[in-house]
Amino acid sequence: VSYRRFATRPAVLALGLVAVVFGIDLQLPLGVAAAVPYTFAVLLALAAKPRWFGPVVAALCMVLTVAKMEIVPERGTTEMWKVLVNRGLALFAIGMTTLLGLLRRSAEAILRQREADLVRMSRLAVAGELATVLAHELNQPLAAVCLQADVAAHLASGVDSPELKSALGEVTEQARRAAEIVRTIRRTVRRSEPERVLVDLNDAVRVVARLLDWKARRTGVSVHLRLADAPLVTYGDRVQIEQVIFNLLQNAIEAIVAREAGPRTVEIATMIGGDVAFVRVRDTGVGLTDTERVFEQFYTTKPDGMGLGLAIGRAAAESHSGRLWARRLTDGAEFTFELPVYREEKA
Amino acid sequence: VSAEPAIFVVDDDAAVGRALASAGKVLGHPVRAFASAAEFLAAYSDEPGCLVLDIRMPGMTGLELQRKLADDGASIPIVMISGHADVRIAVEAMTLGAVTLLEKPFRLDELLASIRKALERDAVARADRQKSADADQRLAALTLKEREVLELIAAGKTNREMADALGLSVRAVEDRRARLMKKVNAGSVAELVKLLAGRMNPS
Repeated sequence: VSYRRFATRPAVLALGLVAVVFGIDLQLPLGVAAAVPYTFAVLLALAAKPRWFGPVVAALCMVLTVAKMEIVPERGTTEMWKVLVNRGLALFAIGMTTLLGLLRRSAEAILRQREADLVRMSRLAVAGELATVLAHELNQPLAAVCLQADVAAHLASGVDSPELKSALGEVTEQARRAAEIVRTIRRTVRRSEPERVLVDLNDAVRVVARLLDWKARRTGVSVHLRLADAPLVTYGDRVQIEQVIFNLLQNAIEAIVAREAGPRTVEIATMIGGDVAFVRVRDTGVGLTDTERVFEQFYTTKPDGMGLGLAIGRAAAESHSGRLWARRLTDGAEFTFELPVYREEKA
Repeated sequence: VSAEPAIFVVDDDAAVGRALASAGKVLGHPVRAFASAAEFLAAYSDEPGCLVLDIRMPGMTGLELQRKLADDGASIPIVMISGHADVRIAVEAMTLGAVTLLEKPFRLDELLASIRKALERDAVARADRQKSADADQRLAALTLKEREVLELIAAGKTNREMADALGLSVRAVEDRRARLMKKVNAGSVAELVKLLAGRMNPS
C-alpha cells in the first residue's frame, strides 16, 4: 500500500513520465517533436509539495530536450532548421507551461490566504461576540449580587456578629472576582481595531463569489453577479466587509439547499444611491419568518448554526456607519448591506 | 411641590433593579423603579430627586433617555451605570451632564456617594430656580421710578449722583431707596445685588 502511495505521488509520477518521454524521444529520429509531452511532466511536477520541484523538473526537461540532439545526431532526411524549430517549439511549450502553472499557483495561494483570513476573522468575531454576550449576561446578576451583599453588610452593621460580616464580605469579594474574570476574558478576545482602507465593493463581491464558487457548484446553486459599472469605493476594514458579504452569500446558498424544489439562484447586485452604496443579496431559498429576529444573537433556524453570523454582520455594518437589513420576497429572501460611499473631498 | 426627593431607578434587569432599589432605601429616600425608559417617561413629571439609569437597555437606551430628558428641559441629575464603560459612551454620557458613570459591578458606597451628589445637585438647582422665581416676583412689584433707582444702585452710584441724574433731592432719593429695599426685602446693598444675581442665573 505504501509503495502504491509513493508511486502515485505527483513528484514520482512526474519523474517517471520524464524518463518515459526521454526514452521514447531517444528511439525516434531527430525530426519528430517528441519532446512536447514533457509539458505533462511539468504540470504534474508543479502539483508536487516542494515549491522548487516544478521549475527544477522543467529545467531538467529542457536540458533533456537539447541533450537528445547530441546523443542521437541521426536526422534522416529532415533538414537541420526543421530540427531546430521542432526542438525550439518543445522548449517554448515547456517554458510556457511552467510559467502559466506558477502564475496559477500564486493566484490560488492568494485565494487560499483570503479564505484563511476570512475563516480566522469570523472565528475571532464569533469568540468576541460570545465573550461580549457572556460578559453582559453574567455581569448583570454579579452586579446585583455585589450590591445586595453590600446592602446586607450595611444592614448588619448594627448586629454584633463578625461571622455574618465576614461571610457577607466574602460574597462581595468573590462576586467581584468573578466579574473581573469575565471582564478580562472579554478584553482579551475583543475584536482588534479595524484596519481601514479604501475598499471597492465590486471587488469584495467578486472575491467572495469566487471563494464560495465551489459550494455553489456542489449544491447546484447558480450565483449571478450584477455589479455596478463604476467602482463602489467605501472606507473600511476589507476583511470585515468581505466577511459580511461572505455570510450573506453563504446563508443564501444554505437557504436554497434547505428547500428541495424550486429555482436555485442567488443574485448579488451592487448599486449606488447618493451617498451610500448597496450590496443586495437575493435568494430563492426557504425565506424568513422574522426579518428582525434573524439579527438577534443566538437566533438561528439552521440545525448546526450558532446564530451569530448576522448579528456580527449587523455590528460590522454599524461600525462602518452602515446598515444591514432583511426583507421577505414572495419567493425567498433579500438582504441589503449599505455602506457610505467614500468621497475624496471628505478626507 | 415640596415632596421628598425620590431616587428613580431605570434598569431592564429586574435583579439589578431590585438591588438598586434596596441600595437606595439605605439612604432613606423613596425609591421608584422602572423596567424601561418608556415606563419612566410615562410616570415622571419633574419631581425632585435623581435618576439611576442603565445605559444598555432594549428599546430606548439610557443615552437616548438622557438626551430626551435634556431636550425636554428636565433637569433631573443622572447617575449612569453600565456593564462595560466604553470610552465613547462614557464621554457622551458625561457631556450630556451625567453626574457619574459607574461600571458594574460597583460598590454600595460608590453608588451612594454618586446618588448623594446627584440629590444635592438637584436640591441646589431647585433652590436656585426657586430663588430666581422669588426675585422675579419681588422685582416685578417695583414701580417704574423705583426701578430707575435700582438700576442706578446696581451701577454703583451714590445717593448724591442719583439725585443729580434723576433731578431729585437727595432726600427724595433716600426715600425711594428705602421703599425699594423694603419691597424686595433686602437689608443691604449686598443682599440686593445677590437678589439681582439670582435672577440673572439661567434657569
